[in-house]
Amino acid sequence: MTYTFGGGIRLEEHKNTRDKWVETMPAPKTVSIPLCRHAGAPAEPTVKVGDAVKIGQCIADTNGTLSCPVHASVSGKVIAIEERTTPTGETVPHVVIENDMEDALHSDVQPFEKPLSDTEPEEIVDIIKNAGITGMDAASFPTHEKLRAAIGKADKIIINCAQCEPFLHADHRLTLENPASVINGIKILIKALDVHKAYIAIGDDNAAAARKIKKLIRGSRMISVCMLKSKYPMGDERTLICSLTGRELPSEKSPLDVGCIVFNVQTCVAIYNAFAHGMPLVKRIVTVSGDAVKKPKNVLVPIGTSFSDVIDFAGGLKREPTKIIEGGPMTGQAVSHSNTPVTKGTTAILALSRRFEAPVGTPAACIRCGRCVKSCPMHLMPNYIAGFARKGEVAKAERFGAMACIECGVCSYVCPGRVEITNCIKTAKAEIKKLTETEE
Amino acid sequence: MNDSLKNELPAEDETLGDTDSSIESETVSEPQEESIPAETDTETPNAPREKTFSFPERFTVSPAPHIRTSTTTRTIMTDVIIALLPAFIFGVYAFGLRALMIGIVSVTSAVFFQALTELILRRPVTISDFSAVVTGLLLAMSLPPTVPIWMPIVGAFFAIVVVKGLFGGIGKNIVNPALAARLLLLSWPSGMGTFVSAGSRLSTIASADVVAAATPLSSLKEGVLPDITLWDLVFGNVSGCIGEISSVLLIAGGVYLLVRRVITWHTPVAFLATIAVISLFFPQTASGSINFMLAELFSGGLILAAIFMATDYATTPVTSMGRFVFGIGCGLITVCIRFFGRAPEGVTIAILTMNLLVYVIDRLTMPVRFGGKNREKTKKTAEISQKATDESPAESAISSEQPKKKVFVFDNRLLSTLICAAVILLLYAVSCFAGDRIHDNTVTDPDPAETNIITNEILPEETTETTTPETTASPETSNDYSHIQPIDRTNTDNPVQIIPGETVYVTETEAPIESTEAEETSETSETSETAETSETAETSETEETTGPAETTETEEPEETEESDDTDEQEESEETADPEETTEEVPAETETTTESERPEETEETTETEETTEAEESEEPEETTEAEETASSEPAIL
Repeated sequence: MTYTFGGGIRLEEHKNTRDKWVETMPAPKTVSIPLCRHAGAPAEPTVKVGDAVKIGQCIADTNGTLSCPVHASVSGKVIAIEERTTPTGETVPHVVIENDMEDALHSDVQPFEKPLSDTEPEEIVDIIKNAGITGMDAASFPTHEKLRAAIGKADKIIINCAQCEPFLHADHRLTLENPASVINGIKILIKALDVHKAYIAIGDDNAAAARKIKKLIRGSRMISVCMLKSKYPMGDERTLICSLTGRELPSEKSPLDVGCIVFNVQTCVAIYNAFAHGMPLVKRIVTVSGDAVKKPKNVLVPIGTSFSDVIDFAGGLKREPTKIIEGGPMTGQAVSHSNTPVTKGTTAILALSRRFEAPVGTPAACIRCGRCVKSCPMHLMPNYIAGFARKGEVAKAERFGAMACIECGVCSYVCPGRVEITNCIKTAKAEIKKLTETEE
Repeated sequence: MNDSLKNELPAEDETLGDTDSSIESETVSEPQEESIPAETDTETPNAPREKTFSFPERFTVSPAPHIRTSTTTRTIMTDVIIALLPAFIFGVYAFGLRALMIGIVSVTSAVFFQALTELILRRPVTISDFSAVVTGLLLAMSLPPTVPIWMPIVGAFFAIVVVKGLFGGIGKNIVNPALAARLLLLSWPSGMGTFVSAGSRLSTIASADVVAAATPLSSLKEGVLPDITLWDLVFGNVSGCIGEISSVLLIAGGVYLLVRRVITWHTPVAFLATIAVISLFFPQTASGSINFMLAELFSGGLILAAIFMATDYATTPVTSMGRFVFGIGCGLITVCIRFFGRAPEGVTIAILTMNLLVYVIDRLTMPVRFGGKNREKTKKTAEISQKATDESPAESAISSEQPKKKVFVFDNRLLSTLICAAVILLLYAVSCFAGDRIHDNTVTDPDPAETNIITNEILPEETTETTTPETTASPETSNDYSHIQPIDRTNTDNPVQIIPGETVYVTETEAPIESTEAEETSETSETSETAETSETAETSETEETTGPAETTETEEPEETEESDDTDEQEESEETADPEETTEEVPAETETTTESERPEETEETTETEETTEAEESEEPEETTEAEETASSEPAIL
């Protein structure tokens, strides 16, 4: 039995990294670790230029909300603390560390002593906070905040292994190669939230991993594996919850309103690592792919490694890329320079050549084919919203449900007239937000 | 963005230096110094020896998504052209090179006007998306092969410049360009009204003395099934417009479009099904409701319009439900015009009318937003939600509310559909009444000469034409319409054989103008007769003989009045409650006339005999009924 939702599309998968084992990348010469990737304020650096740091050492701390500490991913010397551009285009302070190639662990990196059964939820949340764990997707919401809000409200945990975008297989590989860590992470989450049910949602194209997990959890009533129909955008929080529980969450409600809390599978493993090894979030698995990359692969990368270093590790370029994308091709961010560092939310690095450029021919024009309406997972009429947005009729766009858009990009993808529907709606959403703020 | 780029340029140089150093370690050390300045100056230096490309200086930074489907406007239009071509080629085969010339002229002028408009309005020229080709081809296919050659040019001008270009180009027009142009061209009836039968290969130069032939629709308009086999009708051995005659090839094109996912099934199916259902239950000819339905479906431009014009993206709703409603509306208006209007063909106006309602339909059939009504999917997800409700009381409260909400959602969608339907029905009723008035006023015009020709003179010609080797191939087919031949009056030796055929053709020859009315009255008279005989057969044992006689006398005037008003009644059937009698009367005639005509006469004679044998007063009554029935047309 596979779960699914209404709308959405099937995408060409680009399976070139599907069967590639995760390789550990040797630490690069320098890393540039951003102190902020999330909505909150940047963390305050606790190190100075010239300080020696070790792996796992806290280099920036914070007490603000929606913010979490940052740790060194290599051992070496801090050579600069300066403003740089993150993949999303924001300019935030970065700590630049020169690697001394010793891979020395910091003394703070110690496993948690108490057994899980004796641990209080608050303790777990503190461990997660001190490990600097954020959601390991593009949103990068601090996990400890998410957990704290969910204690007592959530009654089921959903682990999202449905990496539904083309090219992306990092989560698949992690689930397949390290199912035990995933399950251990789930157990910690179950303990922290005091719930009785956790679902591991896996796409039906990744049945091997599902089998492995089923083998490990045999007999467990708390954890179960749900197969999802592989279509896009299955990995989105709202469509995922809809697929599994049948409950459609309107845009103004959070998953907690229906008792669900969704974690990315990599976040789950990071929690386990923090608990079992005391290792903060300093590495993540990134898919390096795209038609311009010589040897596409899944790589375990220290946070702060520049995109160009990662691509070099993947064999370099085989043709000239026109775009470097952080994340999947549907929602990812095109970066402006190859020096961009890998952050906690970097799911993939894609180097796409000219072949992926939308064919430039006739100018973009909506022919009202209705494909966007048919495939919108939020059941909107994107063509109308985009039309209103282009004309500046923001109020009408809102009436047609612009705020419910999850910006999955399906409408732009299917549009034969090559209208940038998603982008138009994003602009309209920003306008609407601005208007409502001024009204308030 | 530029600022950030500038800020990062030094940093980028560092990285590039890194990459180069890595290359350098593998190859030679010298090129390093040359390549660094080269990278900062020019755009894309690369190291061809290693086949390793370095990063370009600038990346394209564009909003997501970064990949697109391979379907473009151009591929869609190409698919439509591919789907249209077989039917068009058949039209050329059937009507000769002139049809080809009309097609070429239409397409060329459409493309020309498209380019011209866009050049004058200083828009980018978009003829490469082939939408103008589709418009031109559709226009040509909806013209008769005899039109003067200036007509497609004028039509293309109107379609491309006025309907499309002035409204803002592709996707912005509110009515179908090809159909609007066709409607404009219909104001030259001399050019648009002359049809020739298939197989008359016209040369490219128009000849004035073409042999005009009735289209199947014009025969249907007169209440007569077209005098050809269903085989010919479906495969296109009929007269008509260039592209509309071969229903089989058009349907094949439609299937191709469905498979290629260019169109959805909603509009064509709703459109054709509406017409099929209505014509099945309310046949306008005296014989064979199924035959009538098939004739209605495959005559005229219905198939062409339903598959290719009612699915035109720009002028139809974008929601699936809306497309369904649109199709039903098109069907209703088409039937209304075909049955009650003056013109034989109603598809053009039906689609154009519905085009104007598209925005309303879109708004009313707007899909329920995700989470908008907290919809619950019950099927696959029952397991999880069941467990969830078991565990948390908060959720069970939510789920207990859900059944009500679900009903409400259903109601909401149904309501919007109903509103749509009501709007369409209203429109359709108004148009019907108006059409009727016009019809009544203009009956006295000398215009019916055309219908005269069709009913009286052309039919024999056509029968002679159908004896050509192409068409006589299948006289034995079960769907052969030729069995519905006029009955020879000299053969009416049997006094009981007062069957529809005779009265129909008597009234036709006598008063062709009122043929439809006369035919209907003949229907009613006949049915009243059959009804009487059966009634009398049943009631004669219990009731007195005078009773049924009285009822026949009183009922008949009523029914004839009703038959005059059947237009309105059938049209407003869904809104107002129709009387049961009028509903049942045609139904009975269908069944009797379709299958068991000889048997029926036998039965009536039998009942007569039995009633004669049983009661002596019975024969009088039946003869009275016969007299009234036979004398009715004379009275009218």
